[in-house]
Amino acid sequence: MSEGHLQTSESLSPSLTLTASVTTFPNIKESPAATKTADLRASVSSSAATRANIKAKPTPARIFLGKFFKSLAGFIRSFAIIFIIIALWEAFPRFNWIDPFLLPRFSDVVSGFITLLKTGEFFKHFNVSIVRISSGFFGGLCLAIPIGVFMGWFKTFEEYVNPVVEACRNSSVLTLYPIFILLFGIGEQAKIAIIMWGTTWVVLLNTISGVKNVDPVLIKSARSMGVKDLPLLWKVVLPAATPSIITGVRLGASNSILILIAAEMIGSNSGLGFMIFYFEARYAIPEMYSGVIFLALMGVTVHEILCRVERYLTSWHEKSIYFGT
Amino acid sequence: MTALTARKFVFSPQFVFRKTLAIGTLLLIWQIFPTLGIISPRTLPPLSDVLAELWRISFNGELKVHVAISLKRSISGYFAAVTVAIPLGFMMVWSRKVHQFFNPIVQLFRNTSSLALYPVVLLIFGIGETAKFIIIFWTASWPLLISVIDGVRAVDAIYVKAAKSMSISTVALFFRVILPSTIPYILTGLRISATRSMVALVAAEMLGASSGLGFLIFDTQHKDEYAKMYASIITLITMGMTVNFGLSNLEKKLTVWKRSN
Repeated sequence: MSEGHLQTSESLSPSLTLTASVTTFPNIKESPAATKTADLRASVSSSAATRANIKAKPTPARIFLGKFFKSLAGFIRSFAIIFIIIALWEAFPRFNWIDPFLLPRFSDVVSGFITLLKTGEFFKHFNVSIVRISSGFFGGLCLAIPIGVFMGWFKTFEEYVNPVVEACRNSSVLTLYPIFILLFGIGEQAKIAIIMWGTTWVVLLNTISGVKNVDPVLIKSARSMGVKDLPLLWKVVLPAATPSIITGVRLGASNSILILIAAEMIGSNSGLGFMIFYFEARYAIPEMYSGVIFLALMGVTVHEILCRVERYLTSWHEKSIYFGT
Repeated sequence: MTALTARKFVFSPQFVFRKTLAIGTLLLIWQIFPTLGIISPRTLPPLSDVLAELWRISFNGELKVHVAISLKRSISGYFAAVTVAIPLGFMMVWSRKVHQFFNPIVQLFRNTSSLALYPVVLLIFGIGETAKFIIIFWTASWPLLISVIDGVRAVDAIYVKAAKSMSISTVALFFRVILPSTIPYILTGLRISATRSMVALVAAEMLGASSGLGFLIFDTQHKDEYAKMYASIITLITMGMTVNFGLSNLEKKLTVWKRSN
């Protein structure tokens, strides 16, 4: 968002440079096009010393400060709605516009969360949830990506197995939860297995389609240079399939959070999902809201991390798109 | 393109064999393993028993009640989401500024597991139909909202500029340019939110309900009526897959122009 903002102000500056040079300072004509508008405005009202400054490039410190303030303003502006919501959340119960029992003040929710952190009750549930979700999610990845690459590579095999994969992917995960409980008992295994199940199919399908849809030109040109099967897979097919795989991983991650919460709510006595329900049943409402907020922030963080990973791993890909068009 | 469609829609015996072999094998295993006692028939009753049970409960009216109530819940929540979220999505990308204003909250809620809010909904609305409606509505709304926003943002600027250079009115710009090019995204959103609302439905029915397929599955599990449990799971999965298949076919049909480019 702040990038977009910067861009517009930069694209404005050349035209401003032109008008300024025509009217007041003929010597600005030589100034680089990248000169900031702020510099120009300052120069209009000041002495020859600043005029000389314009000719020189802006100092790095100045660029940094300018960028810093712009991004700070951008930050405040872009999160305005969050601040507004928090303010409303604080105001509504405070002035009794909403029953404070149903929606406690935001400050109460925060202090409830702090108490949870202090007593360690939060970490008890958090640790359990983290173990479940990470073993389920990463287990799913370890299963799905190699199998997906294999299936994408051997297309006939994929054609035979595809209906099963589609069926499993399309069957609502929670529907199967009772079966998992039946097979694994009400314990950690059932929860990890159901999270794994929820992660696996999305990642598998995306990996398969990524490997299958690698640009044939890439494969042919590598082959014509005498590349063997394994290096071809490793150096050409896998990198080309990465964007698709990462998309699958992102979807799998959001799926696995959803399933984790559901599984913990349905049959469990620990974990974040259980914690929220437990506080609701015990009418510890501020604590319940703090759990909900924490889960929301967790979801955003995971999403943001995976987006970063995606951008990092596919940087080569995006560049080629931008230069091409 | 033509070759692809031809291969897709001609049901040659070879094609049918290829598509059914794996599933057929699995079903066969489901039949044989419990009968031979390799898997305990108590945890996994043989397929024939499950099908017989499915036949029985679908004709004595037991299944019909639960299916009807589940359908009512999911359809009302889903269509409420469709009617609210799509226009709201268009409003949220009215301009760059409006989009930037709403973006953080959209990002926050799209990544929040909607079930985390279920206790809050229960607290406010009580254990009843309203709570279920709200949670399904909520779950189905976000994918739609996001797909509309992404769709509008992905409209090719050239089209907009070309239309504007011919001095198109804002209303016409919306209906003639923006809306048609957003349709593929909306269709994807419809499919995703149908899947999501199915998950929310099942969870809501498992967590606090006395009717519906989700309840039936959980209830039969507690009562150790496993054949019935598997029969209701099969029903629910079939329902979900039918919806998904229908929507993805619709998507393919309506976006043919896009792929042929």
